Amino acid sequence: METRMPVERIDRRMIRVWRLTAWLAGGGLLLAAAGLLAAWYMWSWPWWLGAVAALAGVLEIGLAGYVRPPYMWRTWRYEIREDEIDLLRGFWTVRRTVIPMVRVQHVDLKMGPVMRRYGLAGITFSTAAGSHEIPGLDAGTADEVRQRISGLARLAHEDI
Amino acid sequence: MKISDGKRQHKLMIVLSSLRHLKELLIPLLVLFVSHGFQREGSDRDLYWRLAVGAALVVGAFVWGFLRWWWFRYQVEDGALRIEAGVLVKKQMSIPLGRVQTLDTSEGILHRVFGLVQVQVQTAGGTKPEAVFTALSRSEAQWLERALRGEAAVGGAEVGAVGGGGEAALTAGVAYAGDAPAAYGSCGEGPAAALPAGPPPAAYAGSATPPGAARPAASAHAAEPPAAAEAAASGAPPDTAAPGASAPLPLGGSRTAVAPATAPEQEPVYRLPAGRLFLAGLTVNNLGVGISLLFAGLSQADDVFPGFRPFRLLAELSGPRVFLLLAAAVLFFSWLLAVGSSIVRFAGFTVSLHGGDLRITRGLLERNKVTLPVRRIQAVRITRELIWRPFRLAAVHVVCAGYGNRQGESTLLFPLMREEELEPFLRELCPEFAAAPDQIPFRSLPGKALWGYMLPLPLILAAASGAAWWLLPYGEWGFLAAALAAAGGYRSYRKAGYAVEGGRLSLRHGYLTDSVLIVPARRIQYLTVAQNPLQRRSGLAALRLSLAAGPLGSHYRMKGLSYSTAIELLHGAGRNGIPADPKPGVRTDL
Repeated sequence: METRMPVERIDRRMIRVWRLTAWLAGGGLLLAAAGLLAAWYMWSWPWWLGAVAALAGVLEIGLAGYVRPPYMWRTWRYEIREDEIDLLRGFWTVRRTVIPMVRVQHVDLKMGPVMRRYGLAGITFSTAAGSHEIPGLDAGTADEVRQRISGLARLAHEDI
Repeated sequence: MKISDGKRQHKLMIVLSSLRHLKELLIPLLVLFVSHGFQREGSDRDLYWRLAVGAALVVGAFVWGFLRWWWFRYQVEDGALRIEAGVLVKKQMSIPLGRVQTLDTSEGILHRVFGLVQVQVQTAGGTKPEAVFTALSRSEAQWLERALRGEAAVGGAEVGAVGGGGEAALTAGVAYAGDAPAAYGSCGEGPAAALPAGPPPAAYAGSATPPGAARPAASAHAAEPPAAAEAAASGAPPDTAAPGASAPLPLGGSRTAVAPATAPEQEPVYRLPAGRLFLAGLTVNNLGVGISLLFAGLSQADDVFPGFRPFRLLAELSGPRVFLLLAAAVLFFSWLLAVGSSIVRFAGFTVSLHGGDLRITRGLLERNKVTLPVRRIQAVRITRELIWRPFRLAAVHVVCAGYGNRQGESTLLFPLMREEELEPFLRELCPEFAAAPDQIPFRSLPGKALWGYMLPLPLILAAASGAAWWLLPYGEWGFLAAALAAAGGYRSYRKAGYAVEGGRLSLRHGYLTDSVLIVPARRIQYLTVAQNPLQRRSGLAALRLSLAAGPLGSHYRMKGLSYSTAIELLHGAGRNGIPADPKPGVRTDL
């Protein structure tokens, strides 16, 4: 049982959240690129400023919006056990982190504007050595998970 | 009670904070005077105008320093340290005594001339010191320490007994004012006295002696005249006089306030023998700094003395003998620099255990005193520098929760000691971590892991030197660097190891510097196992250990473990390692 891999997956709609986020960031870059190119046309700024911004925008949308999200969604796994939280993620380098429940200090539910649009939420829980996030859960599930972690953590709590 | 009845700091604070303001004003002042000021001769009015503005700034800095001193009031009452400060924006602060984690003191040169200290008060979780007292007299600092730490005596008993707690605390402070400098002096004058007096190079005094002998040993080492100690003991206020007299150490009074006159067990003190200062600074890092400083200096010399031209001189001379001579000279000068820096930093290095706190005092020009609660130590790291290895010497660092400002910062617990001294040292100061690095049953990594250690850096270096060979003269020397890197990689593979024993996980690393990290399983915050595609193919993994220290934690990584081992360890920290209930007597204040 100890070596069992975590099984819970994150919500599939998270792919769309990541995509939309990438469009927003990449769109901003493309707008900036348009401005820079206009400046090149009108005041003969160096042309490569605009080109670099445009390239960055296209790469952001392509990689962070279309290439990465499906892999991220497919590889993300988590499991909340009685005494530990087990996280597994990463496509190229696969990382698995186990956080003993006694180390969890507090749990937050996080809901950005894009995630709210899709009815999703993220769970952040912190330890004395940094915090971790489970990114995309259905808002209802997220609240359940948050309550479960905080309940278990309270039971297990101990001074560091 | 109004806080405005509280105490002010020593008047030297006016000077110190004014000087700090002046330092901040230095650049504007320079701009003021240098900016095309003295090129144009004859415009006297211009110069006067500049002088007037400059003088106004200087006077302003001092006025501001005075106002800050005037408005800073502090008091210990109702079980809290209360501070009111601020010239324009008033700030009121109240730190409950139970929350005070560390109390560090340091002394700059001006402090030492006037017999003052700077005190920083920190609570858990904070990255900045919560309260800074720029200048307190030693007696006042000692009183503050007693009030904050030995709540039993001042915070609890007196405040509890007398309704107007502030009043009582205030009188206590006054009572101490006359005598305590002498007692504290044994600590403050440590380096000056200890250096020439030179404890026997073999050992640190006072750790294994019977209680009766502790006091003479302690006073002898710091060359503290017995009269001063007598004065301190007799002059102490009645409630702490008796335990104070039995306190063998400088600052012992504050401890006796916690555990009054119970067992007169003496507190262990470890001191760095002066002779070891010559080795303590010899780290690879320090030598690197020394060498780069040396070269920077030489290249400057080229500008300053046009006739000197060291580099051109070198280019003309050649041959192995010159090269060796040069290498020897470089090593010698960086050794001088390293030794100088270690004397400045580590002179009079002393670590002692008071109650549950480790006290570290060090420094030649600037005395620093750090207090670390033993129960907050997360891990111990023992390092052995390349140069120390033949002498079987090692340094001890601790990773402490809520301490250290940057990520992964650890605090030096002892700069240099013999390897056989490590185990008794740790057993006495922090028994949870007691171990002799040689005795830990380290297990080495599987053979497949060798390539992960040996190949990456040498391959990159070889590729780079391949390119350099074509393009640059002497490019082929790059291959030598690649070969050296491969040898280093082989060594670090051989040295890498892990051990699980007695509820602790230990990791051993080695490259130029060998290090052993000892972590009780219950101190591990969490573990991460990472696998890249190559590691997946060969069934290997990297383990990352995260500890509570600094705002982002500190992290230690070991690659090349077998995947199954890594997964086994991954769950171990939470399940097996943690005792069912916390140790009795552990304060839960985080």
